[in-house]
Amino acid sequence: MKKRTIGMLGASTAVLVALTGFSQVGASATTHALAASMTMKRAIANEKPLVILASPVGPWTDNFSPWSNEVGDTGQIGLIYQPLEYFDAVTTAKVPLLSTGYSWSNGYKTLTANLRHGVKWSNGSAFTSADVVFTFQELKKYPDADGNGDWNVLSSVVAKGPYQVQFNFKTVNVPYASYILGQYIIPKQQFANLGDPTKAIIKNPIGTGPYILQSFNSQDITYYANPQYWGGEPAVRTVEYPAFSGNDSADLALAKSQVDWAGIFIPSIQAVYASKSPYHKYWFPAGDVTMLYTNMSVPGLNDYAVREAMSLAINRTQLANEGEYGYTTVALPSGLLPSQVSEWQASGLPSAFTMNDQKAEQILMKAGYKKDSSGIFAKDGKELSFTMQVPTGWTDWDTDVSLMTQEMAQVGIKIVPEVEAQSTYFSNIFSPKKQYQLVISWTNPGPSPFFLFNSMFNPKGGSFNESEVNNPQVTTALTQFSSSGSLAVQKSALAVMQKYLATQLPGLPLFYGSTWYEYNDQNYTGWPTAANPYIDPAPYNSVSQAIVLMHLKPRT
Amino acid sequence: MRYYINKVGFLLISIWAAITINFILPRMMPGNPAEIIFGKFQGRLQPSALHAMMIEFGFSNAPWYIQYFQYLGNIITGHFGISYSYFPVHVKTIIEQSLPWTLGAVGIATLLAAIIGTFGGIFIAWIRGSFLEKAIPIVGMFFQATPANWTAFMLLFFFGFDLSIFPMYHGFGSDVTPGFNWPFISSVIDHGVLPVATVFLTGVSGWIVGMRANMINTLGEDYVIFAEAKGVSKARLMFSYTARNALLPQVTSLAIAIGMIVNGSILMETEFSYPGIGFQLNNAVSGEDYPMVQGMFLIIALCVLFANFIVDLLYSRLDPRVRTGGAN
Repeated sequence: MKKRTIGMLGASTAVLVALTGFSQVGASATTHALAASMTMKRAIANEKPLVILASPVGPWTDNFSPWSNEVGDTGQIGLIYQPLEYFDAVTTAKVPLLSTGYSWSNGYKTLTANLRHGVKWSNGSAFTSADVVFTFQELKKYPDADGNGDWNVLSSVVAKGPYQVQFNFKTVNVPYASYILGQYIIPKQQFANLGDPTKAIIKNPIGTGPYILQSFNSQDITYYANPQYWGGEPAVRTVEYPAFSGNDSADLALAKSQVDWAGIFIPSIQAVYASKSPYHKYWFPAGDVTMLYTNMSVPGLNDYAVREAMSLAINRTQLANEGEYGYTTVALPSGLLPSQVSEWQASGLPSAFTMNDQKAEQILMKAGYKKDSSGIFAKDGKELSFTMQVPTGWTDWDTDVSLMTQEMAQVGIKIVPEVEAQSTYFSNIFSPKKQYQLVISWTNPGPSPFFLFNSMFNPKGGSFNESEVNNPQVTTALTQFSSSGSLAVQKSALAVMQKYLATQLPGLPLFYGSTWYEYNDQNYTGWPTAANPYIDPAPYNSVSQAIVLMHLKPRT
Repeated sequence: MRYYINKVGFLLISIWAAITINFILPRMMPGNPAEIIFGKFQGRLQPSALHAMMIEFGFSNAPWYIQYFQYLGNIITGHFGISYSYFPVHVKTIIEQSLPWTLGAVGIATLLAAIIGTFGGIFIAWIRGSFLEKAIPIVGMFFQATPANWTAFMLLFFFGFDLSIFPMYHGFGSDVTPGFNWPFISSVIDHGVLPVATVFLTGVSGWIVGMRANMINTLGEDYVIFAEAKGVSKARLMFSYTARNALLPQVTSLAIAIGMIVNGSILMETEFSYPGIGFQLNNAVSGEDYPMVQGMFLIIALCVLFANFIVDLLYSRLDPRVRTGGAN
C-alpha cells in the first residue's frame, strides 16, 4: 500500500516539476516583438535556413550584447553589429563596412574616417557619426568595456559633420588603426540610458548589419535577412545557430548534412565527413603559428646554441602529420603566415626548417657541452634538462609534446613533459613572472605580421611575450614600424624582426594552427576556398562570417 | 513528536553547514576566472581585455567575513550573483533555463530505474535458480560499469544516426515553439527517449541487485518460512510478506537518488547536447565561475537534504521501529 503511494507521489511530482519546467522554458523563449510581426510576413516556405555550428559550447543564454562572452559563436558581431572596417588576419583582406575610407594627417596622429551614407539601424533610424562618437565615449567612460585598450592610444574622438569622424592619437601608432576601425559600433539610442554597457543584457539587439534577430531559445537562435541592409538584402534569407554541447553529436550532424557550415575539429575527416556526400567540403587555412616558447631567463635556454640544437632536432613534418592529423603544414622560419609571404617576406632568410640530428650535436659540442653518463649533454655539471608544459585535453598538442620529447632525446637533450590542467596552464602563461621553461602555445595574429611580432617581442606591452624577449634592436624596429606610414620603412623594420626570429630563435615556430572550416555547398555557392581565399572562412570569427554570408548565392 | 523536532533541527543545521561550506570551497580553488576566459580566446583578445574582465568580475578585496554575510543575505533574497562565463547573465537565469530539463529527463529516468529495478529484483528472487536469474544482473552491471558517454554514444549512433528513429541532439526540435502545446510536448518526448534510456541503463542494475539482496535476506526470516510452511501462495509470499519489508532499504537509496537528480548527467548531456544542468555545472567548475558553482552546489545540497528529510519522515511511517527507537 505505502510503496504504491510513494511511487505515485514520486511519479506525479516528477511530472509536475517537468511540466512547470517546460512552461518556464516557454516563458524564457522570448519572441522578440519586432521580429515576430516580420516573421508572419516572411513565411518563406521553400528556402531552408543555413545551419551554422561555430563551436560546441553548450546551450545559449539570452543576451545579444556585443560584449557577451559567446560572441564568436552566436554571430551578433558581424550579422548585427558592424565596425567601420574589417581587417582580416588569415587572408590580409581589408573590407570597408560602415566607413568608405580613411586617411592619416597631422604626422600620423590624426585618423579621419569617412562614414557611409544612407545606413539605417534595424529599427529605421539613421546611422551617423553621433553613434561612432558615442561608442568610443562609452569605452572611455567604462574601461571594462574597452577590451582593446583604445584609450591608451587615443586622446580624443570628434565628429566632423554627420558623416566624418576624427580620431586623435596621443602618440603615433599606425598599426593601431585596425583596432580603432575594427571596433563594433553600438546604437546611441539603445545604449545611452543603460549605464555600463558590459553589464547590459540585450535581448533585442539593434544593428546596422545584414541580419536581424528572429527568435531565441536555449537550443536555437535564428536570424532573418535585413531587407534594409545597405549592402543589399542577403540571398541567404534565414540563418540558424543550433547549440551543441560536444563534438560527437556535432560530427554526426555534419555527416548527416544537418549542419551546413561548421568550425570544429574532426579526426579522420575524410572517412567521417567528406566521403558521405560530394557536397561535403572542407579547408583548413593557416590561422596562426603554433610556437614552442623558450623562457630565456632560464639557464641553458638563454644559450642560442641550445635553442638552435633543439630546433634542428624537432621533426616538424612528423608533428604536422601525426600530432596534427596531417591537417596543417610546417611553419616558416620567418614566422609569417602563407598569406603574408608575398607582401612581407624578407630576403636572405632560410626558406624552410631542416632536421639534422648530427648538426645539432656538433653545435652543442662546439658550445662546450659534453655528454654525461646518462647520454645527456651537460656543462659545468648542469644537464640540459627542461620541462615542457601543455594543457591537458588538447590531444593534438599532447601528442606533439611526446613526439618532441622523443626527438630531443635523440640529440641528448632531456625533456620532461608537464601536462597541466587548463586553468593552471593559462595562469602560468599569463602571469607576469613566467612559470615554465618550455611551453607550447599559440601566437597572436593580426592584419599584418607586425601584430604577431609585437605581441611576442615587445618587452613593454607585448601581450604574449612568453620567451622574455628584450632585444634593443628589435624594440627599435617595432617602434619604427608603428611610427611610420611608409610601406618601405615598415618592410625594412619587419625584416629586422623576421631575421631575429629566424636567427636567434627566441621561440621555435612549429606548424600552423589551423582554421577549422567545413561547409556544404549543395544549397548555396560562393564559399571561400583555397582557390578563392577571399576571407577568413571560420564561422566562429566575428565579422568575417557575415562577409561570407553576403557572398553566398543559392545554387542555380 | 520529539522524533520530528529532532529531524527538523538536524535539517536546519545541515542547511547552514552546506551554505557555509559552499562559500568556502570555491575560494580555495587556484587560478583566476578572468585568465581562463582570456585563454579560451587563444590570442584573439588584447591584454587590456584581461584587465577589463577582472574589473567586470568585481574581484572583491573586502575581508572574508564581510563577503560571507553579504553572501548569506544574497542567498536569502535569491540573488545568486552574475555568472562569470556568461557575464552579465544572472546565475538564476541559467539555472532556471536548465534545471527543468534535468529534473525531467534524469528525474524520469531515475524513477523508472528505481521502479523497474525494484520489480526486477523481486522477479529475479522469484525465479531463483534459473538461467535468467544469473544473466539479468550481469547484463545490468555491464551497462552500469561502462561510462555513460559510451552508452549514450552507442544509442545515439544506432538509433539516431544509422536507423534515424530518434533525433540525435537537443531537448526539442527547432520547428516547434515552446509552450503548452502538443507539437512541443511530443517533440520533447521524442527527443527525450534516448537520453532517458541512457540514464536508465546506467542506473537500473544497482536497483535490481540491491532489491535482490534485500529479498534474499528477507526470505530467510522466520516469519516468511513460517508463512511458507502454512501454505501461503507464492505470489502472496513474494509481494505481501517479503517485498514489503525488503523495500525499506530501497527507500533510503531512493532518497539519495532523488537528491542527486539535480546533479544532472554531464556525460549524457554532452553527448545529446541536452540543455540540462550537468553540462552547466561542469563548465562552471572548469571555468572557475564562482557564482555559478556556488549557486548550483547550493541547490544540489538543499535538494539532497530535503529529499533525505522527506524520506526520513516517510520512513517513520513505513517502519514503526524507527519512531520508537527500536524498542518493543
